[in-house]
Amino acid sequence: MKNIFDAEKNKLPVLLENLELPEVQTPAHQRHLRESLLASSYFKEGAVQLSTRQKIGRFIAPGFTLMKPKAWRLVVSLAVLFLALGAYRAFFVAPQAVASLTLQVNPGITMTISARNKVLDAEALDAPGEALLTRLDVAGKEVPEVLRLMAGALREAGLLAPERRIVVALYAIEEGLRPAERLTPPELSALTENVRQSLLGYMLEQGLPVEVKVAEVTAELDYVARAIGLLPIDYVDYVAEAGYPLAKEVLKLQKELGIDPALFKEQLGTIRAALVDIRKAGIESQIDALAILKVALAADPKLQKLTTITAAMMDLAEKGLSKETALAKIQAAIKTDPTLQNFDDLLELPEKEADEATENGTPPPEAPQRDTPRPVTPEADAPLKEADDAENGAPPPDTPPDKPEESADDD
Amino acid sequence: MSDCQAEKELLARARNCPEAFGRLYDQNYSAILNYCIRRTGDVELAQDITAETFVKALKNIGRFQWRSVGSFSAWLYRIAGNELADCFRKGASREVSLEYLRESQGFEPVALHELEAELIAAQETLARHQEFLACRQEISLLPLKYQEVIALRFFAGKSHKEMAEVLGKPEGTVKSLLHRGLEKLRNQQSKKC
Repeated sequence: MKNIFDAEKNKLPVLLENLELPEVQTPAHQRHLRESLLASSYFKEGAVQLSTRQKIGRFIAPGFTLMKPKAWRLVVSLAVLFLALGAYRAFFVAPQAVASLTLQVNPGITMTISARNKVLDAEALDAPGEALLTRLDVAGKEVPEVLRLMAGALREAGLLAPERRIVVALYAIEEGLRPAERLTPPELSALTENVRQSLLGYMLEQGLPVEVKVAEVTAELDYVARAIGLLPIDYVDYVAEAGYPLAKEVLKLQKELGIDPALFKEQLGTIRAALVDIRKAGIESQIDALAILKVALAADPKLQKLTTITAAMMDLAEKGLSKETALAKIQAAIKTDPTLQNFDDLLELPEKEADEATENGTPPPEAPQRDTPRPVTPEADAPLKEADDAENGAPPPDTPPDKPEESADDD
Repeated sequence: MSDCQAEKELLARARNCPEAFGRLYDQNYSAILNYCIRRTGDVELAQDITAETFVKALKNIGRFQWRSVGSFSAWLYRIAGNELADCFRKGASREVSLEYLRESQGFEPVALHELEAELIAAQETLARHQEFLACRQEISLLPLKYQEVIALRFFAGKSHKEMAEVLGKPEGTVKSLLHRGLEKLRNQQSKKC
């Protein structure tokens, strides 16, 4: 036999190609193997092993398996990317606080809440609040669960007696958040309602006749109030009665007029009563009410004559003077006698003048409106004007800059 | 309909339909068996490897990807190549899936005497190709990677492109392997002389 490897170098492939190859036929084996294979359990449902793509496709959609491998890889890559981002956000990016909730019984506690209605952290406002938080683990829990935990702890501590009240104030956090991340007014309302129902539900279950007051406020109002030392339990009723933004603008007067914060806080009830009187005197406009109050507070920084001024306002209104005229007279009287010693005398109207005023509603000559300084700056006027417009049925502005979501409910 | 398209459809059906798989089997059985015989020089061992190749193909048909192999036939050659390499590494002793199929499913094989007679006839056919057997023996002394390319080229008649598909390597790499394999084969023989 000639050895093909003896061939010259270039002829080896040719010789190999021409090598006579054995061609074996084994039909019995072929048939036997065929029958074995086709009878095998691999053809039963699910026995044939599928690729990962096909397994996923069976669960997701039949069309998924028809995707080209490139497209499938892209889909999987994107899914992995999103999962990775999700995991990154979940584990490495702290959830942002979108709302603040202050609960006071007292104890007082302020919590920040995430977009998923979970408590991110809690801060005590006082020593009892501190003691309460040391007993409770609230971070990461749902708001209703935390409220029930707190209510339970308060009940056990005997702090939910019938004469007490629970005050909760919520506001949406805007600082540091993109508009899309902020709570919308309906979302804040939903959270507020959730809080209300959680607390009321607990009180009902436990048969506790405790008043629950839940109010939506604003971050700005809370900031201004806290600057004076007012916490929600101090101001929610005042805000409910005075209305927002008047309540906020009035609180700002403390700083603007340099009134002692402690005195302002102490006399908030008087201010609140004065505002009610002003309203009763027919001064429905929040701008006018603020103007009167500002004049009065500027003239009486110790808040000793505030009710006198507002009472005078009511008297003038009863005598038939228009609110513009009455305001002008009060401002003129204060201007004439800043000590307010002769305030009542200065406001006395001659009968004739009063009659004329009653007839035509024109302001008296001694108090011309052109001389009347407008005590409220245009900037401060804007939200109040909007509130006034809203009360008068005027269409709201396109974009309310700080539209209040004041809703204080007694339950 | 093109052959490629027809094979794709047949393959898609073969995942659930025994008849479709049977057609693919019939189309490829002889080629795979003879490739294995030419690689091993042993008909019985080749039959076992062929059986194992088709069992694995059936088991993994759901994972078959056209893009990475190019044809069902190339995929079978790849499985067979792996089985052969496994066989060469471990020796001739093999656990055959076919036996497992018979035992676990109570399948009654065709008459054993018929298989035995066929095997003897096939071995006699093979024995008549002495030049081929001598050549195969020389090639079997080469490293496995060269055996594989030479066998695919000269025992299975595959083109460079088809060899690249079976081996999952670029065509240039296959050409290079083939060239070096032949060179080694020649050197190996010249040393003996």
